[in-house]
Amino acid sequence: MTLPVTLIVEGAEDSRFLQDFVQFHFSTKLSDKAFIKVEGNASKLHRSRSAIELRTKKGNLNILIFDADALGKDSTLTEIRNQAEELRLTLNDIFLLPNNQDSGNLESLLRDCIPQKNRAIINCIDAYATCVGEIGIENLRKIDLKSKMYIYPGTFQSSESSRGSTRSYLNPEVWDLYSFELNPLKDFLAKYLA
Amino acid sequence: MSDTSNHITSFAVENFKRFESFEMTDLGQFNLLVGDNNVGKTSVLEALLVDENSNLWMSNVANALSLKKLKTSVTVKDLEYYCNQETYSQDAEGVVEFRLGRHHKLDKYFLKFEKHLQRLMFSTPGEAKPTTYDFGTVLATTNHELSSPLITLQSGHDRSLTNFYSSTIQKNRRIRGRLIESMRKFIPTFDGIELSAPFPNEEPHLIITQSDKNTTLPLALFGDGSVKFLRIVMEIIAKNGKRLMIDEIDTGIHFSRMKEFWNVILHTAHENNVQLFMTTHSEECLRFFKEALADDLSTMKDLARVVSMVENATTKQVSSVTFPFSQFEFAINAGNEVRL
Repeated sequence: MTLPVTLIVEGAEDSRFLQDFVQFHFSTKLSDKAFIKVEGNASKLHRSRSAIELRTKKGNLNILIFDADALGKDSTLTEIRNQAEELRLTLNDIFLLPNNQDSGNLESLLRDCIPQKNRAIINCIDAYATCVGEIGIENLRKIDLKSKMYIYPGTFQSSESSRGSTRSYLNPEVWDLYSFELNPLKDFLAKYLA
Repeated sequence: MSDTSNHITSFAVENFKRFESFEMTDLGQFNLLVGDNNVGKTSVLEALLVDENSNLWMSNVANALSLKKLKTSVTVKDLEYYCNQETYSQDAEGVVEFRLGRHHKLDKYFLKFEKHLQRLMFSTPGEAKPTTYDFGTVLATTNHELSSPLITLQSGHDRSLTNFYSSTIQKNRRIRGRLIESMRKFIPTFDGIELSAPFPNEEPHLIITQSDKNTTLPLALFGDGSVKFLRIVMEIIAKNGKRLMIDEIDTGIHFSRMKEFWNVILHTAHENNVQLFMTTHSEECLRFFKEALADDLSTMKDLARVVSMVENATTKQVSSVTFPFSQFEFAINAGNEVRL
C-alpha cells in the first residue's frame, strides 16, 4: 500500500462487509478509522464534507464504494461526480456495487456470495417472500432483498449475528468470498491494498 | 449581548515553531482543537497569544517562554522555542508573521527576533511603528501569574491562582458574583470563595465555603478537576470580550461530570463574550462537547467548531479542517473519526 486509503461507503453494513472481505483477500485489517460512512447515497455526501477534506489533507486516497442502485452505473456515477464537484471533494476512485457495471447494491453482491450448496436456502426464502406477498393479509412488511440477506445467515446455527452492521462474512459455511462475482471488487481493491 | 468584534474568524501563522505556514478558517466562538500528538495543538494556542497591544503581546511571549520553565536560565537563544527552529538557525533574524481575520478585515502582526542585538520587535496594525524590547527587560518585567490568557496543563492550585483571584476577582463584586453563580452550576453546594487570613510565615490561600458545611475548606483539598474548573471559570470571567486558550481542557474532569462541565464553561464564555480555543485528545471530551451543545445549549450550536489538525503523510506539513457543528455532530453520531 503506497498511501493510506479511506473507504467512503454508504453505511455500517458496507464497512462491515468490506472489513471481512479485505481481511480475507489481502490479510489487512481495516480499522473503523479507515471508513467514512455517509449514512445514505450521493445526496448525503455533503454531511461528510469536512471528514473527507481532512483525509485529503492527510494525503489519504479517498476511495468511494457506493451502490449502483436501480439507476445504473452511469447515472449514479454522474450524480456522485456532480455532488463531489459541488462540494469540492477529492475522490480518487469510485466503485459501484455490485460489480462496477450492473445496477444493484451490496445485497445483490451478497446474494452472489451464497455458496452453491446453499442456493436451495435462498430459493426457499424467495418462495416464502412470494407466498407471504400473495396471501392477501394487509400491513405485512415487504420482504425485500435486504430482508432476505438478514434471514439467510440466521438460518445457520453457527451464524452469530444476522444484522448487517455486525455480521461476520468469514464463515465459509455461510458465505463464499471466493465467488466469481466478487472478482471485480477484489481487482479494484487490489490496486490500493495488494 | 456585548461586543464580539474582537473575536477572530481566521488565523494564520508563518515561521512559528514547527509551522512554516499554518492556517485555520471559519472559526467560531468555541473552538476545540484536536489532532495527533506533536501535530502542534499547543503551539497554535501559543501563537494565539498575539495581541494588538504590543506591551501585552510582549508579556504573553515572555510568559509562554517562562511556562517552558526556562526563566531561571533563559538566554536569547531560547527564543528558538518561539520561532521556527530551522529558519532561526539559518538567519540572523527570525520573523514570525501572524494574520488575524475579523469580520471582513485581515490584520497582519510581526514578531522579529534580533538575535545579535538581543531584542524583540513587535509590529501591530494599530501602532504606527514597531515597538522594540530588550530581551532581558522582557523577562524581568513580566508577571505571568496575572496576565497570561493561556491555561496550560500544569495550571493547578498554586500561588498564581491565589494571586490571580486576589488581583482580578476579589476586588470586583460583580465578577465575584458571576464566579459564584457559575461555580454553583457545577458544584451545587458552592457558597463562596475567599482568601484565608494568613498565619505568620504562611502565604494566603483560597478557601471555599459550602452551604452544607459549617466550616471552610482550603481549595487545595478539592480534587484537580474542581480546581481546574474554578481556574477556567475565573479566567473566562476576567477575559470578558477577549480570547482565552486552554490546553487539554478535560484533564482532571471525570467523564460523569463532563457534560455539565461543558454546559457551564460554554455558557459562561457566551455570557462573557469570551472566544475559546481549547485542545483535547479525548474522544469522550469531544462527544460531551457535542452532547452539551445538542441537548442543553442548542442556541449556541452555530458558535461551536472542532478544528482538526493533521500532518500530511508525504510533505509533513500540518494543516487544519474546521468542522462546523452539523459536520462534527454527524461524524460523531455516524462513528466517523474527526481526529486522525
